[in-house]
Amino acid sequence: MTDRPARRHRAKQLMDGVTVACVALALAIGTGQLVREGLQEFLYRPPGVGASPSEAETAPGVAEAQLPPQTAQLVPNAPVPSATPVQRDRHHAAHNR
Amino acid sequence: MLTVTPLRTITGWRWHLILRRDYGIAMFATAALDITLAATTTGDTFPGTPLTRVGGHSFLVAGTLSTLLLVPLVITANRPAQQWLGRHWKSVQRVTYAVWAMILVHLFLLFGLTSIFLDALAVSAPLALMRVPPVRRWWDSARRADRHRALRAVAAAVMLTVFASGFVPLARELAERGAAAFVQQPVRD
Repeated sequence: MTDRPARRHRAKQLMDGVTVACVALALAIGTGQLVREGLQEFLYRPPGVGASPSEAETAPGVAEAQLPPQTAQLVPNAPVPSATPVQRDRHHAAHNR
Repeated sequence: MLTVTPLRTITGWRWHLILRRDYGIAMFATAALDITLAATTTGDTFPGTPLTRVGGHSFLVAGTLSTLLLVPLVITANRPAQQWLGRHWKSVQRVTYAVWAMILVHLFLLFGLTSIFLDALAVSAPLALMRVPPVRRWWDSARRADRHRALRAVAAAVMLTVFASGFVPLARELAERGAAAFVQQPVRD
């Protein structure tokens, strides 16, 4: 008959083994996928997962459509003064008189 | 589950300690359901085998590891296991801290320094602080001797605010997205 401390020590070792097995299983799955897919794919987060923007948000057309119009687009361009004097036709000049 | 011990340290309450085991088992059930759903329903996002869906990316490995680490905890979450392990039972249950760290790693790899990860950090910070042995000892002795009442009240209010600042957005996120997922109309990220 074994004494209680020795039995408890073996129980602890068994539970340590279970813990190590669980860690090894997770690492084996991860390592297998890492070897198969490569480091870039392993570290890559697909669009729409977590903090990565979804494909719809990153599509060029959609992204532009979602952006608010720029200030420059809202304000019409100021007329550029022409270097040459404007030549009015006679009819227009008479009408303005 | 992780709030049970800090709550006892701060208030001295003992009535809720019995809930810790049930919360732990509920945590395992939630994690097991999460990994099962991830392995079976995320084929569109992670094409391949079920193993790809639970270990094909760094953040998935961290999540899977945290779930698997719950196995020895749930196996020993009963009175016969307590008697079987004796004084070693507590050291087995300390794997909880590794699970906690791995969940934070999982959320960091998934969300970066944004949203849910920062919320989880805010939730974790006061709980971790109250587990630091000198802090815990000081608080315990001050509470028993009824000293530093104002200081303890202010510190408790600050910690509660930090905890709530993380917990409320997390709960709202889970409620909104969870409800949408149940009716099969998932909210897009």
